[in-house]
Amino acid sequence: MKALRIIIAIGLLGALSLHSEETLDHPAGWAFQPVQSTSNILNANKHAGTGTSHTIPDGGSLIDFLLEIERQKAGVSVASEASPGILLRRVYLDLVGYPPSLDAIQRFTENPSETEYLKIVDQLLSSPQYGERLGRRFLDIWRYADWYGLGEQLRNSQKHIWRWREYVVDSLNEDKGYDQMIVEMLAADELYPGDWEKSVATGFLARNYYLFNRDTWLDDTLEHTFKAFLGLTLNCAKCHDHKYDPISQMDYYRMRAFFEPHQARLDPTPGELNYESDGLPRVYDAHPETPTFLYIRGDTKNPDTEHPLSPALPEVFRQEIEIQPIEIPAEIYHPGLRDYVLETQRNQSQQKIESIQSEKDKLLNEEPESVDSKEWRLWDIRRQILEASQALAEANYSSWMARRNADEKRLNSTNSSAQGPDWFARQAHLAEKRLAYRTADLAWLKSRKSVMEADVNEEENFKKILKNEEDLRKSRQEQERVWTLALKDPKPNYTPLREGKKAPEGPDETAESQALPFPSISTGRRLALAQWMASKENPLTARVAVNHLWTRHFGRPLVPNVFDFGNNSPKPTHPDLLDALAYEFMQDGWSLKKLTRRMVTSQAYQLQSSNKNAPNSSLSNDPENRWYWRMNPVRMQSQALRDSLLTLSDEIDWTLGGPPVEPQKQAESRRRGLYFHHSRDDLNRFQVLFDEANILECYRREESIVPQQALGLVNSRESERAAQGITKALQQSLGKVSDEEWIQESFIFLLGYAPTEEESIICEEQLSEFHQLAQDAGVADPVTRSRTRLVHALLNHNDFITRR
Amino acid sequence: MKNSFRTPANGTPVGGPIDRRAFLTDLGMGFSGLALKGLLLSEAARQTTDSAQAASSLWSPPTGLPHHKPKAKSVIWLFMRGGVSHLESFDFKPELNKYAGKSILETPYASVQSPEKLKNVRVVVVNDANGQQRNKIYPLQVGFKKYGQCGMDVSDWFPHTGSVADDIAVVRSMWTTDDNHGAQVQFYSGRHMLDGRFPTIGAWVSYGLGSLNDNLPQFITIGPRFFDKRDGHYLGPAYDAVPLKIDPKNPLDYARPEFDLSGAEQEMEFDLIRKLNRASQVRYPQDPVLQARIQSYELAYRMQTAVPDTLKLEEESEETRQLYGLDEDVTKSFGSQLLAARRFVERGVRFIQIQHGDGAAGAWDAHSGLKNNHETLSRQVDKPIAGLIKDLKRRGLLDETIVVFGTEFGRTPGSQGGDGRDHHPYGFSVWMAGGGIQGGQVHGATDELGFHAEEDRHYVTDIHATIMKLMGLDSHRLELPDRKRLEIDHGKPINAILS
Repeated sequence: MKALRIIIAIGLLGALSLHSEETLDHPAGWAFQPVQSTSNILNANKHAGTGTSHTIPDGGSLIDFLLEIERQKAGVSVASEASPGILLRRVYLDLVGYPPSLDAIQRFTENPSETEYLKIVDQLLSSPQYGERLGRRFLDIWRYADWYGLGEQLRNSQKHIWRWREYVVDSLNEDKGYDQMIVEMLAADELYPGDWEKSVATGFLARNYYLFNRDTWLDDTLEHTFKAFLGLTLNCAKCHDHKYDPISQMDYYRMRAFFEPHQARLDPTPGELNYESDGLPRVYDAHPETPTFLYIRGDTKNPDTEHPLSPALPEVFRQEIEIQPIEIPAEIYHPGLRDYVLETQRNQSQQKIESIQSEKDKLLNEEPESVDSKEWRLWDIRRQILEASQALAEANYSSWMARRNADEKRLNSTNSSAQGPDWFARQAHLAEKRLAYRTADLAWLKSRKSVMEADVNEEENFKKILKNEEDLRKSRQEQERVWTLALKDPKPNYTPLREGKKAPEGPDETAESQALPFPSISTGRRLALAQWMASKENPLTARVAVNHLWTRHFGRPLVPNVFDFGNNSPKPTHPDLLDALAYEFMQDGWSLKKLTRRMVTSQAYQLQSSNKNAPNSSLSNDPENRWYWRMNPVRMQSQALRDSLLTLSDEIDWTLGGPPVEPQKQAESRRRGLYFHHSRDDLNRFQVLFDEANILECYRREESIVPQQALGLVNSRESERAAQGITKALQQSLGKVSDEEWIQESFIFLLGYAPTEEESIICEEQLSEFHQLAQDAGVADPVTRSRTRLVHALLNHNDFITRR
Repeated sequence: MKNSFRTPANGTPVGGPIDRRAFLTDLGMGFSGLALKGLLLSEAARQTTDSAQAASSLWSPPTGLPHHKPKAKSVIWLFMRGGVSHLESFDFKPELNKYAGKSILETPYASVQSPEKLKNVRVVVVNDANGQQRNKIYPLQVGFKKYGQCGMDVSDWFPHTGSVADDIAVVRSMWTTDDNHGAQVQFYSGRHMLDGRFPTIGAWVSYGLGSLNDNLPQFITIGPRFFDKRDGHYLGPAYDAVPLKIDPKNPLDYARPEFDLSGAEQEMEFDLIRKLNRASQVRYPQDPVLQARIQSYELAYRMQTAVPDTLKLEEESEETRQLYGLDEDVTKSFGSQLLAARRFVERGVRFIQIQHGDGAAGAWDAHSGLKNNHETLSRQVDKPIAGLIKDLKRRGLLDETIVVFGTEFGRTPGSQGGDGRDHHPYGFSVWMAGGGIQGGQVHGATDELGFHAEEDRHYVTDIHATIMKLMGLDSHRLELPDRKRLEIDHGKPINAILS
């Protein structure tokens, strides 16, 4: 369908790679060597070859050019291109995570031109499902996990961590630079100190929260930040110097120092101040003063307290890192001062007061006639209670406001008003005392109601109720006295507002310590580290990202161990290609969409995956397809499989984002798998069969083949429902058709290709047997029944679950 | 293939450069253990040329053959969740009665609390109410008797286990490092919870050996699990145990259609899937994944029948059912699990782990009311366990089956709250029986208070090493090149209890 887009000048055979053995021998290892520019790589190849000049058009041809040089050296030539049906299915599954519609297949098979293909690629890249699909892949690597705990107690990750998932998906959809994403995920709070919304990116770090052990928390943070972004096993240097890579044990703890001050918290979200219901998970520097010590032989009980360590990069990078403390605006370290919080508080108070008012109105209409009756007295106490509730709600709001005003005057010295901070503090003091009185008043009135309702014959109980009323009356008197005192002489002390909820630093952290103000200075350590990680000078970052994306689209990595580029891992199989892609990726502003586009528009991407009719030379010289002379098939990932079933049967619910679907609602949910609650305790029952992402570590999905997967696809509600939906949809779009045509269309729709004659015959025979069986069993519509069975069988076909 | 050993004795070569895939295909089995990981790693290893990587380049995925001649082919792993009191089961300490009510410091054994001796413990939950030192000696809550020709001391709560004393080897000198229930994870994987999650012993065994019968899952788990519901971890999900319920109607997830489908229809559909996948070999010749997929459907089809069939406990004689206590309410549940385990072992399942004691931390966690707690729970398990040993033995299966009785830790010699015992990681007991184990012996010892494992101390991985050795595996040879294991992860076989 499209011509080979590059024409390699003849005579390149024998061209040598720039990465000859000696240049790979960087003293620290190949991965620490700077990324070579594309032009250097091309020049080196030219010089090493015949010197013939050749031009490379834009787009995917860089990939094909470099691969072709290697293929020629290896005596390997490419297989045929994949059929349009297969290619379309491939690119849909890769970019959006589900197969194309019947319409899309028809359109493309009728006009499988290069222009049409590029158009489809761009459409897919700009659909929101692209971010969902690639987002899930990055969430594998970045260890997305919903929180778990005991009851309400948070033990791991953060509540509402889905907001970070949303950040990832949105960032990918808007094609934010990958470098920018790294900086934001490690230090958005420091990069944009004035923008509370941005800090949600640091959910990447907040996810590592672990209630019981700070060392575990930081060890996880270090290990997975380095594996994810740099492909380095820093974790090996926790107890001793790294055995293979130039990272000392000291380096490990110097890197830890970057993270030492940070803690996790929830910020309020607009419209909600209950942190169980919603909140914005993020990190912040809580303890700039905490020293970092090396643990001797990694033993946490044995810190080397004589030598506190400062944050610094491992020496191998030969780079000083400059750290600037960052001032945090008051409304950021004191979320109570934010306008939207004020508005939320105001609305909620108003709503509360109004709802009490309407209850009161209703009650006033129900006044009993006889004033002397017990009925009336009960009515009257209810009236008093409602009035006191209203007064309490008002006192609550004004106390909140007074404290907020006092906080504002105290923290924002620039504010000019007639009264100084002291006056506001006294007002807050007074408002708090009033609130305490109102609270006690309401409690007392409620106890009076209990007395009136109590059964005097139940002596013991009645005594208790009376005693309670007496205690509460006294307490009300006491609060009244305190309030009156305050009215005469309000003191300038009050409880500052506390909005935002800090995750406890351990199971024994007290409420007081948890309520301490958030600091107004951030150390700037994480920002400095992040900017170094995401810089073009960093030799690892772009290579690691390119390798992940490559693996995704070509089914096999360029650097075999995707999380370890160190010296104990195999070297890159195609170092020039890796570097050229990494270099171009950085030149393109770290755009993942451009990189993806470069990959999926290459010729290599569009080759058939089969050995069939492959050049003999390729089969014999490269049976393992090291030179990408054909495509590598990939097993659908767990989410893609379920999403595909739902898309094909047209049942899918395309709602984007939001809180995760809880386990008990998943069986009936038609949302994409990305949105399922995914935690240590809860993985989706169906998806878990197909190598679901491990929340602890998932740098690459497994592709196991076990009988339980077959049982899942054969016996599950999920696959049967899909088969029925697909049958219905096909019947609608095809109308009345012969079995032969039905088979033909089902194959194309579900597998991406038309059946062979043999396959047609097998299916036709089986269809009539299914039909017979259904008829014998007295099934009302044996045609639909038998065709559903055929569709169901095709969903169990190896080429359904396989991205060819 | 059923019940056969892959040893030279019956003609199957051991070791040698045999390709796992070819090997499995030849035998028409084995794909339940085939994960891409192995293929990827071997690929990576082949690509490695650097001399610094020499070690990893020698690596190849397991062949499914034992590394040396095995003594056993299956494991039944019984795990009592919550922490069984070693002091009231298999480690008789009369001194506790003598010093009852006294503080440990008032006994001649005050040194058990020296900080040096307590330092191994790694605390997960700081300042937890549990996992504390308990100083006031709590007397034994049950009597002991001597059992068997060996004269083993066993408590009156385990009389039936006592009756098979000559078949079991008790290890009284176990220790672990987690003073909380994370020790359950540790007992399975050998690693403290704070180190992360690692493959469990069952995963290693099935990774190393695969299955003897692919109509059944190679690795089964029954009963409530702990903090970690997975086994394979970095070995891959193919080595997770398959959770099973003793319910022939619904023994495992997706074992039968969740919708209306006749048996004839399903059979026809499996037939169609098989034909179509085979036909697609023309389109995709020499595709190992396609071959494996075809195989996995054959196995799935057979597994649908084989698993429920194995659970047809009514096929057993009344006498056998009674032996496991199926005729009594108190023992029926656990007894059925053990009887099913024997039937799985007969059919070649490699590893069956059975957890007893539901509840968050595990039912055996007797912080209070220990007497009532252990009396009740031991009654549920004691008779079935003895029944299992006797039944295996008379069928000639005990020689090739390892039975392990384990728990995450023991319980404190001191009392907690007047009538309970707290978590105790410093010394506790487990026992093993069966293939390659010399029964009728006690190995190792704690001090007079049952506080510290003193003689022949064994960390939990020594149990794993013993199993690996008896199963014919060398854990070092199974190690993945990108996953370095520590020596303590491998453990050392407890040679003293081997026959």
